[in-house]
Amino acid sequence: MVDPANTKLGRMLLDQISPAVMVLRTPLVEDSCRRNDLSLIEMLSPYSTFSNIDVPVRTASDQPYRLRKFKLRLFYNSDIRQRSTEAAKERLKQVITHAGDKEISELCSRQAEIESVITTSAQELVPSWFQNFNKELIDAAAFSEHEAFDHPVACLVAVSTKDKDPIGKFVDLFNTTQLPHLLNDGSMDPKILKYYLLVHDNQEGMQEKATGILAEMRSTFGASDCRLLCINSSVDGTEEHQQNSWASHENGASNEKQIGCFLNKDDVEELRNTMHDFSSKHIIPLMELKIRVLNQQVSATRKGFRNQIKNLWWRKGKDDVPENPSAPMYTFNSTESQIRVLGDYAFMLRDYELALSNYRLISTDYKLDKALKHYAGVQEMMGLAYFMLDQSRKDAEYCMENAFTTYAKIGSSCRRNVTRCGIWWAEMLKARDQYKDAAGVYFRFSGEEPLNSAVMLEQAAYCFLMSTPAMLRKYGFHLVLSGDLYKKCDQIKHAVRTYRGALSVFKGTAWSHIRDHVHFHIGKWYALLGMFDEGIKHVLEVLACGHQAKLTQELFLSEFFQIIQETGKTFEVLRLQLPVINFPSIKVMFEDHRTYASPAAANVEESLWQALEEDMTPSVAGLKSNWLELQSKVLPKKYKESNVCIAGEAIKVEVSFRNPLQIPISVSNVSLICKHSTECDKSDPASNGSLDEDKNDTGLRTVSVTGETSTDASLFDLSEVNISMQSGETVSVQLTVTPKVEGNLKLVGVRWKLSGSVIGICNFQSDIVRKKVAKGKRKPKKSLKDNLEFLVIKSLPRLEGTIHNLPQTVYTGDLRCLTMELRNPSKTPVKNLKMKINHPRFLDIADQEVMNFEFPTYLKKQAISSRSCTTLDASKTAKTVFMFPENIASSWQTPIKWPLWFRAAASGSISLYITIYYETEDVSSIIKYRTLRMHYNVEVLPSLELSYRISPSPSRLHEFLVRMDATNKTSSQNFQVHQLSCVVDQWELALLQPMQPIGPNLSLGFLMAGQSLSCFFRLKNCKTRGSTEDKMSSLAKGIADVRLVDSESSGLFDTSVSPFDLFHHQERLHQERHDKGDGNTVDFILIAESQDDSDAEPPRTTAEILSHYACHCRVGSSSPVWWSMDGPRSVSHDFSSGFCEINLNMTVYNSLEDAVSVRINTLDSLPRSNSITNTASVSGYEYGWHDTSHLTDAKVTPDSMGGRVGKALSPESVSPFIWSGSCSTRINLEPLSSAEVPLQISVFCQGTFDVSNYSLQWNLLPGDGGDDGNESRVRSGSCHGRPYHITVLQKEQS
Amino acid sequence: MASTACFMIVSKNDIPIYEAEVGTVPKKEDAAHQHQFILHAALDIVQDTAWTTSAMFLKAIDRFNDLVVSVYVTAGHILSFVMSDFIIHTRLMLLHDSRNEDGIKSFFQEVHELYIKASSVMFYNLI
Repeated sequence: MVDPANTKLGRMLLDQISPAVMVLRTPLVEDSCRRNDLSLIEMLSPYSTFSNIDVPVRTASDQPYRLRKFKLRLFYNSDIRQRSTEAAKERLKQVITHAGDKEISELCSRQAEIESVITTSAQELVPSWFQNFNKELIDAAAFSEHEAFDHPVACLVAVSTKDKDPIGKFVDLFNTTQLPHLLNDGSMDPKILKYYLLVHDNQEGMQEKATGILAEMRSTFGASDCRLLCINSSVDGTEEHQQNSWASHENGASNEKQIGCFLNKDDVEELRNTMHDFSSKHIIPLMELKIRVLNQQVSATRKGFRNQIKNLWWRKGKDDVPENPSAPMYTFNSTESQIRVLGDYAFMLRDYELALSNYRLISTDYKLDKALKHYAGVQEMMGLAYFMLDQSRKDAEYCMENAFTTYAKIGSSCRRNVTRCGIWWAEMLKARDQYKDAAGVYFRFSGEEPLNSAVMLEQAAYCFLMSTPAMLRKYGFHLVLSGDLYKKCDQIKHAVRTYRGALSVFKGTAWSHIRDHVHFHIGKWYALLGMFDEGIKHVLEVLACGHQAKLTQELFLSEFFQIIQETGKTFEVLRLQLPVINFPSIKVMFEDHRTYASPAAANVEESLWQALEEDMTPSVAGLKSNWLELQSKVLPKKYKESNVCIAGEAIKVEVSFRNPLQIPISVSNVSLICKHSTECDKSDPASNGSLDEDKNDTGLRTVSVTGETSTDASLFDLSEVNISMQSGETVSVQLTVTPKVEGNLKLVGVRWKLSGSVIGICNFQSDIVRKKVAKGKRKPKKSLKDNLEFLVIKSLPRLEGTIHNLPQTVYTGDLRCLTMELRNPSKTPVKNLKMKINHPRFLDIADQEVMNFEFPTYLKKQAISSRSCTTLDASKTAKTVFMFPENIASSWQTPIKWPLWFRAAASGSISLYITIYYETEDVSSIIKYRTLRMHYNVEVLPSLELSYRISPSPSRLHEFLVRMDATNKTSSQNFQVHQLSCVVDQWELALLQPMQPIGPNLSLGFLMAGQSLSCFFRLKNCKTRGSTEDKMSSLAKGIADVRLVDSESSGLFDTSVSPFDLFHHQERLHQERHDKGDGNTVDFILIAESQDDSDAEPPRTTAEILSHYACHCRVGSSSPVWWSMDGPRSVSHDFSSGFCEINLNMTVYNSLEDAVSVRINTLDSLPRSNSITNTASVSGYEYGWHDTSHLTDAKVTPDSMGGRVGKALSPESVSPFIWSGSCSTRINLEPLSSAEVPLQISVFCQGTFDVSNYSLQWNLLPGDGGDDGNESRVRSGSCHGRPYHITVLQKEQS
Repeated sequence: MASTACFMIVSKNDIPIYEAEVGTVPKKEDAAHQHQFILHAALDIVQDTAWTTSAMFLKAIDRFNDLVVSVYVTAGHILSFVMSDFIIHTRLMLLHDSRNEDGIKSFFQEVHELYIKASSVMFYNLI
């Protein structure tokens, strides 16, 4: 712990609790002093402070000690009274305003970092004017009657030699009624020491007169109390002082005149001697003496046991005496006052022990007397005495707190004392490093007067900062509180200063409301001070305040615009937060050798296009075939990294803006900032006038309203967009720049104007680097940063392509003829056009002549005869790249139109990618070829769901039953099934039953929404060799079309021509099955027309055709041996004449390429089902009986059937019929040939019989076929008989 | 009686991760930043006090005029090796003007429980 006297509080006490001297002077004295631009007190005061006066003093108990530091406080008689409230307030305000003006220059300086703030020493950080301010506050509480240290100890009477009757003046001065009320009202002893000073101005006359007067004075007032002071000895008034003692009194107005200019060395020496003499020989001895006298008196009356008892007794009685508030409670000769004076004098002479003991003594008395103010004053002094003695800290603090609360309790009359006590208390705590407590004290006595509170809160803030560990958040908070109060008192400069301090704490904080509050207010206040740049900088920080309430947002925004308006300039603001730019979503779209027909195409992933174009474009290795060539003319190395774009073609940048506020904002003139440099003026990039990055790091600059956008007009064109954004809206803006001249183009950033007043600039490069955002989407390896620089090359032809009438939404199977149009706006021709489509199943290239025909009617069979039949060229479909004819490519000037077939093959969302490759004829260009990329999305809805089921006909060999189930899956669309065709050569298709109209308007194939339809067809194999049925079906090529529509007028479509065959080919590839059977498959094409009932849609010009393909439908059973039973179905027989013999004929067909041997075994046991049907038939179903399970039976696999037969075998049952003839027949069958086997059964009674109890066993004849290498194939098998029902009836006897 | 209550959860790095005005006093515009200021400043006191006591509930740790700050410091600094960064030394702060200590304490405990549940969702996969 340092010596208490050397602490700040110690120095303060030395300064403020020191003997006061009342100065009385005549006006002429003052005049003489004024020559030096000083008043008498000002002239004397530097010499009334002694750092080492070295006067021996004795304590009351005769302990000698030497007084070192000493100070006299000089006051004019008129100043010895308490200041009025207004005057005090005014003085404080002056101090603050003065301090604020001084520090204005610092407000613009750079913001201090909080780290540096912590390390800065307290002296540097805490404003120095606090000390003055505190002193003013303490002085304001001076000259109270309840404490004695402000009471003048002596009186200095000064009379000039020029005065008439100097002796009389001396007497007059003291006797006038102008003496302070303290002396008059009895608070203090009016008999005080007087010291007579005769002031002689050497400019005015010679010293002789003065000496005479002095002699006279000495005889009148006593020799020791008089002194002559000669001043203004300098002749010309040009004295300069090395150490200007009056520096503190210097005020700005008198700069031209040197202070103390008439005082030469001798004068100064005399001043010093006078004051030293006065202090050491008069004041100190006087005080010492008085202490002794008083001490004796006090000892006599108050010390000792008896006195104490007496005092207590006496005090008790005094309670009843009513207090008189107007008169002082204790006059100077009361014991209490004397004790107090004794204490104060002892304090002033550094005899703290004595002071403390007396204060203690008096303290209880005052308390008993309920003289609260006196009590508090004594407590205060006790605290200070404890502190100076460096004794019990606890007591010191307790006393100070006690004093503080007591003063506060008294109320408004003691407010100044509260303040003074608080300041001392806080200083005391600070001296002991209890900064946190000190801050609490400051906070406690702030509160009434806003200006005082502001300063106190600021001091509290610094206390928090200086406490260990530093309480930065409290520091910031209290600075903000203080700043608000400063603002309330119109001390804006101070408010800004405190907020700046707070900002160092709150900078970048995540506490959004705090940050907004500080930035907004400091910005506003800067603007009030006229420092608009600073103001705007701060208000900008709060613009993107989406988290604030709507009202606050409006307030922020309006304030911002108001500041901008006041400046009257247009500002360009880097990183304007309104609207917010979504950096990851920034997309740069440019076209080098890749060109895009639509923005949608540009958004497709590059890898997709590359995969599509892989075998179409020349590979990179192929391009660089000659390294010499490469060196000579291809890119200069430094441009290798940069992208290539073509003059005259726009680079599009998609930027998405977001309005974070709840209020709508308008953004205008959104455009890109670009930098263009041609190769020749590369050395002078500044000529382009675009954004210079270094310059803009300051973030704010002024531009003329006309701007610099026009300077680059010759080099590139920029698009401008105006948008207005609703609350919280995100708007995506496409900006373009079109370079006009070859050279280098750099996209620097984007610029916009907010509400027509502020220009916001966002620098792509720096912002992206800052945010470390990788662009990633289109080119994962390249960030957006790489996409900002372009090498502009001279213009090239660029094809534009569209596909007309491509529908957005179609039903599955929809078949259309579309037209693709390619256009070359430039004069330069292109060559080597190639095209590739990603989904040939959906979109394929048609022959150009298709354009001449009307679709779809020309596809009908009648129409085809009139033109040459184009059949599918297998080689063409195998190739995926379509080459346009050479003649078209080279010479066309008018748009080229090319037909395309479109078929919605499957439901779902389909993306179609079409890429067209072409080469330019200009060989000198860097870009040799270009591709046009087109992208379309088609939504395909399900329409008809089809399923086919084919089963062998039970009755005929080579015939199959086809069941087609069609379901309309749409909700509103109706379809008319037009025809069903099967494609492969060997088949013939026909309806099972002739078609009958269902209603007047409805034909068989009409399908309402949600309906389903089942049709049965007969499918006949025409490929059979050596069969008699061959002849009748071999008339056509075997392609069979079945019309399912009523009207004869609509002809059948020819499914063998394009586009049917084209898509059939694709479908076959697509629907390929892995489990290939024995090659017996059939492909169906169903053609339907959509019947649109809704009136809302405009009638279509062409009927919509839907084609559905079902490929690889499996035909027949798994067995390679087919057979059919032939014979009568119903026989009438007279059983009375014996049993009935029925001849059956079995035709067996070998569908294999090898010869097989077939054995037919007949079994004479009955399946149980037979007996059941037998009994059923007895109950009257004689004719027309129909086994409903027939159809399903036919489909059951032979294996399960065998199981049924086996189960049904029952040894007990007696068969109603038996097989006649041999029970096993073996035949050999040549490949693809058939043979007939006669069979016979004998029936014994009438009934319906299922002749299925036989089985076929086949096996390949060994050594016959040459392809035995395939071991996996089935070499043998067995089949059970199929149901064949014969009804035998009793023949009626006629 | 209308009461003020501002509840905040402050993460390890003094970042507010949750803020709610739960009092019955009609919302005022300037209250939001004032509450933030008070709570933010109280963090200094929390910082001092939290390490000197083992109690999690620090009642009326700081005050501003008639508003009192009570804090519940999660025990993350003890369990830091188990818990993730999310839970370490999170402070639940309540600015209030009522004197209902028990109510505040149980409120804190409830919130703490919920908070731990919410922030340890990621551990479900590990356990």
